[in-house]
Amino acid sequence: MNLGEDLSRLLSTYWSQFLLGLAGTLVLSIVGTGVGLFLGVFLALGKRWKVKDGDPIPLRVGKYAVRGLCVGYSAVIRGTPMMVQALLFKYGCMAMGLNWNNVLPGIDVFNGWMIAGLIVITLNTTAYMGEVVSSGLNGVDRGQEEGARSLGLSSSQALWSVILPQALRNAIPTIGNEWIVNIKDSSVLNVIGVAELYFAAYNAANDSYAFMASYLIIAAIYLILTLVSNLVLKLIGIKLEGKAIFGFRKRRVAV
Amino acid sequence: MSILEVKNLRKSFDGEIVLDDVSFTLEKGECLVILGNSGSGKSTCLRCINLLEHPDSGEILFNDENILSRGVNENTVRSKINMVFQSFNLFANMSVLSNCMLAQRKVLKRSKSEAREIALANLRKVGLLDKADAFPSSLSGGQKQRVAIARSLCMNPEILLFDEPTSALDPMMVAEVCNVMANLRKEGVTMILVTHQIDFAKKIASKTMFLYSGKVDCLDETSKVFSSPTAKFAEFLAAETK
Repeated sequence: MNLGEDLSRLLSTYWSQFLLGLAGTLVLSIVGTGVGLFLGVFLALGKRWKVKDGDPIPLRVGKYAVRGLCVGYSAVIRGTPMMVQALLFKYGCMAMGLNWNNVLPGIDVFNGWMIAGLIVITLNTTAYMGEVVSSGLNGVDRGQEEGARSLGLSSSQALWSVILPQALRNAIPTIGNEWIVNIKDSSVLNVIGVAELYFAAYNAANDSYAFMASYLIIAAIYLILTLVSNLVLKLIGIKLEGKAIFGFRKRRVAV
Repeated sequence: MSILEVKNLRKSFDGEIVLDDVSFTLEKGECLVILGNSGSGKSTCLRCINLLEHPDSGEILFNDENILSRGVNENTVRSKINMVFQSFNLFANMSVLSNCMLAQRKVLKRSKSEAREIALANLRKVGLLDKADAFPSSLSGGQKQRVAIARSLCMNPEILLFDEPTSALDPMMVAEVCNVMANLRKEGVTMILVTHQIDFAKKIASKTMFLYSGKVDCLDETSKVFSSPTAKFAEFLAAETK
C-alpha cells in the first residue's frame, strides 16, 4: 500500500475522529491560554505583593505566605514537564477515588479526561502566564503609577485602571506565543487519555496500521493551526499598534 | 491660618541627606517657587508634600492637620494636593478625555456626565478641547503637559505642585505651558513650582525659596530674594543665566 492510498483511506474512514481531535486541541489551547492568563494575572500580583512598613503582623505573615506560595507554585510547575504533571494529576485523582469518567457524564463530549486535561493545561499555563504578566508589569513606566497615585487613586485603582491594561498590552506577543505553544503541547495530554488531535491520530494509526499517514495528517493540521494563529496574532498586533488598548472605548467629542 | 506649613523636614536616601531641616509656609493664593541646583532637594521636597516620599522627620501641616501622622488617608490628601510632573505621566492607555475623567470618577465619585463636563471645561481652559479624543502618544510635549495640568485642575486641588514642568520641553513649548501657569496664577490657584526658568519664576512667584544641598539658603518675597541675593544664590543665578 502506498502513502497516497493510506491518506485517502484514513481521511474517508476516520475524518470524524480527526475533527473531534481538532476540536479537542482547540478547546484545550484556547481555554488553557485564556483561563491561564486570567489566573496568571493573580499569580503575578501575588508574587510581587510587597510588605509595607506600616503593615500589622498578621497582614505581613499573610503577604509572605501568599508570595511564598506563588513563587513555589511557579517554580514547581515550570520546573516539571506537563506530561508528568498530567500523570501525577491522574493518579492523584484516582488515589482519592475520583474517576473523571464519572464526572459530568454527558456534558463532556470528548471523554471524561477532557476536563482533567483542561485543568492540567490551565494550571500549567497559569505558571507561565504569571511570568509573562510579571514582565509586562515591569515594562510599565513607574511614572504611570506615580501619576495615578498623585491624583489620589489608591494603589489597587492605579493597578487595575492604569498599569495592568498597559502591562497586558505589552505582553500580547508573548501571550500569543503561549497560545501557539499550547496548541502543540496539548498533545502530551494523550497520556491521560484526553481526546485531542494526537490521541485521534494514535487511535487511527493503530486501527488502520497506516502510521506514517496518520501522523502526517495531524502534522499538517498542527501546522495549519499554528500558521493561522500566527496570522491572527499579527493582525491583532497591527490593529493595536500605537493606539487602542484594552479597556478603551472610543468617544467622540463635539467641539 | 496658612494652607500649608512645612516644619523641619528631613529626608535621606541610603544615608545621604537630601532635605535638611526645611521649613516654610504657604498662604492660600500664593505661588512659591523653589530654586536650586540639581540634587539640592527641590523635587524631593515636592514629593514629600505629595506623599510620594515619606520624610524621615518633620511635619507637614495641610489646613492645620499633620498629613504625615498615622491614620491620615493619603489618597484624600493627594486628591487635594496634586502634582504635575516633568515627565507628564499621562496614562498611555487612555484618551486625553479619559485621562481627565479617571480620578474624578474613582476618587471624587463624580458621575460620568459631571466628570465629562468638568474635563472638557478644563481642556478648553488649557486650549486642548480639540484633542479630547487623542491619545497621549500623538501629542507634542507641550500639549502633554497642558493635558497633565488640566487633569489636575479637574480635581479642584487646593494646592498644585509643579515639578520642573517645562524641563523636558523645547523653548516654543515652554512658552505655551508657562502661559497656562501664568493664567492659573491670575485665577489665584495656590501653587508650588520647581523650575529652572529663572525669568518666569521672577514673574510668577510671590515667594522664592533657594535650596542649597538640602538646606534652605534663603526664603523671602521674590523681589527681596532677587534684589539682595545671598552669596550662594548669586552664584547660582550667575551659573543659570550664563
